[in-house]
Amino acid sequence: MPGSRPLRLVAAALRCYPRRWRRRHGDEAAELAALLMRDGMPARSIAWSYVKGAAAARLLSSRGHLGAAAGALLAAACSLGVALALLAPSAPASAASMVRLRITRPAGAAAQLRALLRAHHFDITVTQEPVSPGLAGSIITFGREGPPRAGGGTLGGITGPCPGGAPGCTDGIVVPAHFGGAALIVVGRAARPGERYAAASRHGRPG
Amino acid sequence: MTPVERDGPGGRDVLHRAGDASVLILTSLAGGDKHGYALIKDIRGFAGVRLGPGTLYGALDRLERLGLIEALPAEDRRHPYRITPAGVTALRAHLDSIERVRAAGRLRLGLGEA
Repeated sequence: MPGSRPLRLVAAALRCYPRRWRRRHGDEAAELAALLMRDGMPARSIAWSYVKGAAAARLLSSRGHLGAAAGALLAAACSLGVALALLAPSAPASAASMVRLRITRPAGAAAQLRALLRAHHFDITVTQEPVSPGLAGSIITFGREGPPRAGGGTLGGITGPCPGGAPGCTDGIVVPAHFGGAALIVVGRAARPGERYAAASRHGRPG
Repeated sequence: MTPVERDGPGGRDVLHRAGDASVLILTSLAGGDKHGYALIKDIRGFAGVRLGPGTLYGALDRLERLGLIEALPAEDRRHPYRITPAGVTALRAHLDSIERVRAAGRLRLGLGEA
């Protein structure tokens, strides 16, 4: 989970669940938390709900008095971890003050990126342009829009393999956690027949 | 206080001690399959209750263990859930049970039948 403070808090709470639970529900629970935060639910409430749920899950999966005691101890230790995440300074280290958003679903890249940006309350617009098949689902260009505002910073790209498998595409974006400006990200989409490519990979063919 | 089991014409009320969240989830799923976020939104809409995500997953696990719901194959990362025939029976029995209590309460308060 990326490094913004609310998401770190939720991530700490989710780590309280037994490993088996996390394997089954972990990704979905993190996504649900992001959606609830987008809807205005405070991260603390979400994290607290998960901590309580994790304590119940651990007690339920424990066998006997010793197991229950161990479960209770683990739950208590997790609660402490969440409290520390809550009290942690607002990430002075550069790595912690950056939010890394990665496209994992090229077929729905723009929608995924929009959802991730909304979850972090970034005022960043995502548009799509037709591109050659090898670039569809990756980021074509990005940048700040309008005059710089307080709490600014610049966006950075994360380079990874292209959806088609070739190396050297931008499949993620790094945003300062306290990014205060407006920005635009353009994501490539599959071109319709006859459409001109806004960008093409070296092996691109006309749409 | 000794826990009581409530039975009635609709069958044994296994939801009596499963908690309100379980009843809300079954009621929501009675209207169609849903994943976690959709369940929270739907329950907020029809009951005015904001389920916490930890409460939601706890209740989903409990209902699944009881065989009252089943997880469907994941769509993306989300698991939709479906109410099972046993879940429908349990929900019906629980609603019958509530209905009898409601009717008795209204009668004794002089509110008449509604």
